[in-house]
Amino acid sequence: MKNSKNNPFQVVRNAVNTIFANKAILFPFSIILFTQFLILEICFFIPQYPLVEFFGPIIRAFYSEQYLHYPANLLLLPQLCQIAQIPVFIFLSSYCIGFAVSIIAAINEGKPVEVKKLARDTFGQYIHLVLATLLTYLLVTGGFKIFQLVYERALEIRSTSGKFFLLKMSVIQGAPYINLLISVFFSALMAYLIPIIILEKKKIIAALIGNFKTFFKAPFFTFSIIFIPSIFYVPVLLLRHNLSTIATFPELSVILIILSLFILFIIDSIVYTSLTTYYLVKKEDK
Amino acid sequence: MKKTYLTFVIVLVAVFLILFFLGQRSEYAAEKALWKINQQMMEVGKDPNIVPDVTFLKIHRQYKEFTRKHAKSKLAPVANILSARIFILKKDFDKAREILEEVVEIYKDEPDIAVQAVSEIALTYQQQQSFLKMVDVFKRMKNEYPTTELGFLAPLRIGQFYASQNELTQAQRYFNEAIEHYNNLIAQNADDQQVVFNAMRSKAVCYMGQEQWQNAVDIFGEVLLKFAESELLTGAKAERIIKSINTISMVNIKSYEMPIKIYTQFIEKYPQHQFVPSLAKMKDSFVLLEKEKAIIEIK
Repeated sequence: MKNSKNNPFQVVRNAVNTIFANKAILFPFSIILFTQFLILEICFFIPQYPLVEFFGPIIRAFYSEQYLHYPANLLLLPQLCQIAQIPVFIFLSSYCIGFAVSIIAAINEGKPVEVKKLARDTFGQYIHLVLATLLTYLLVTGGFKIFQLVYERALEIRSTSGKFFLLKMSVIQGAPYINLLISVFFSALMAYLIPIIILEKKKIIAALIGNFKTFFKAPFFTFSIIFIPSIFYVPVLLLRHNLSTIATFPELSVILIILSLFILFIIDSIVYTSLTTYYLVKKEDK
Repeated sequence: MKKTYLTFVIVLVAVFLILFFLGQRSEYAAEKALWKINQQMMEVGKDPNIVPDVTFLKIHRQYKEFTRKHAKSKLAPVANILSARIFILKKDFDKAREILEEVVEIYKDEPDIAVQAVSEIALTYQQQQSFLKMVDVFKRMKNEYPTTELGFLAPLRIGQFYASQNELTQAQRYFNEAIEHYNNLIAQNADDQQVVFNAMRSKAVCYMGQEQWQNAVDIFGEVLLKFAESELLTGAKAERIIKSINTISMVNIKSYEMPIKIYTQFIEKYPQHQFVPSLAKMKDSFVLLEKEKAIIEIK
């Protein structure tokens, strides 16, 4: 697998070709996707027997009775899925991404992909992987919270024309896309953490230092590798925030969730393949 | 790996199918089905004049099919009533009333549901502008379903209807009848807190309809003091009563004496009550306003 070193488009294109040539890379991401679909199914059927017997009191306590009835439950569904994804991201995705990095490394070295062996080896670094994703999650969430303060301040702007009004509308209308950029930025900041933990067998602190060293050698390049595939998520954001037909077709929210899960599956596969192959090439050059 | 992918797909499909079929007899399935039919009725309701007759009949058949398929659902009575409402949209009021009388007969042992169907009959007469027949239906609700919420409010609604038509003599007459009716209910059901609570509030609204503002504030104040520690006086209901006392005093009576008196009595009688902090603030504001008003009058 060869990379044009400083061209992020080339790196991403090569990653896509690598995935097509070695579909085993998709296996760990498929595990994440399967789990996410299972969670979606459970959240979807919460208002119905038999799940309502267990989840009903929880929904009533934290939200209200109306979200156990059609179609209000479908309005709550994206939020429920998002909350359920947090432990999946920290405890499962961390492992699966590490597993994927192991597979990519094996392919790069020309070794056979022994799935069970690689899965076992990855498990040896599980604690550090969990800490790495927890740290990334906290950073991204922190970024979202800071933007939320900016958003709330923008809402207070009373101008109805001029530069302040423009600023207000940019923040309000652009909120979903700004959040996407924040997520991409902080993901880029921690982009090499998991590859270093798996490939260098380092613990979390050493991996963090290695991550920042690698990131700051090519910050824009790293940001671009993550940003380019993330553009595929923009249509989902456009659909989600501009469709009034959800009122007459509530199931559209479920379709959007399914679509977004598939797109995230593709984005994650491309991003981590790109990052890992780029890191391996840099390592070979040294 | 292919086996694993196949396992994933099988597990997802199996979980979906199991949960889907288990949920088919649940209330949720009925809610979803009824919502979809209601959406069609909403579309028709936007401009019923351009909708062909066959569409009304199709929606009516869907409601009937719903009541057959989900006979045990809590939504079956709603669907029955809505199956008549489609004919109200079509302006076929006789057909609507025929269906509603059938609903009354079906639910004759369930007065809370039957009275809703009777209330819809009143709506058909209102739409036809047969106001005398509408009033007769309100009287029917009052006589045949006195313990239901709609039956309870029926005497008040008659007075409010005539007031809205500017027929003040008739309005006064029916408000007086309603007040007498509620007084009788209070006397006959002195031990039933729910009846007394609702009757007193309805009586106060009657006085408001008659513009007897002092009496209205007196009754509202009495309700607040009598039911302060009852579960019947929820936060929302208390808020509405307090708002009514304040608004009537400020706008109609133009004096703050009554609310000051009521809130002072409340604070003295229930010093630990959760409403006391906000009532104390209101009372202090009114005392200040009353002093300022007195200064202006002296000047």
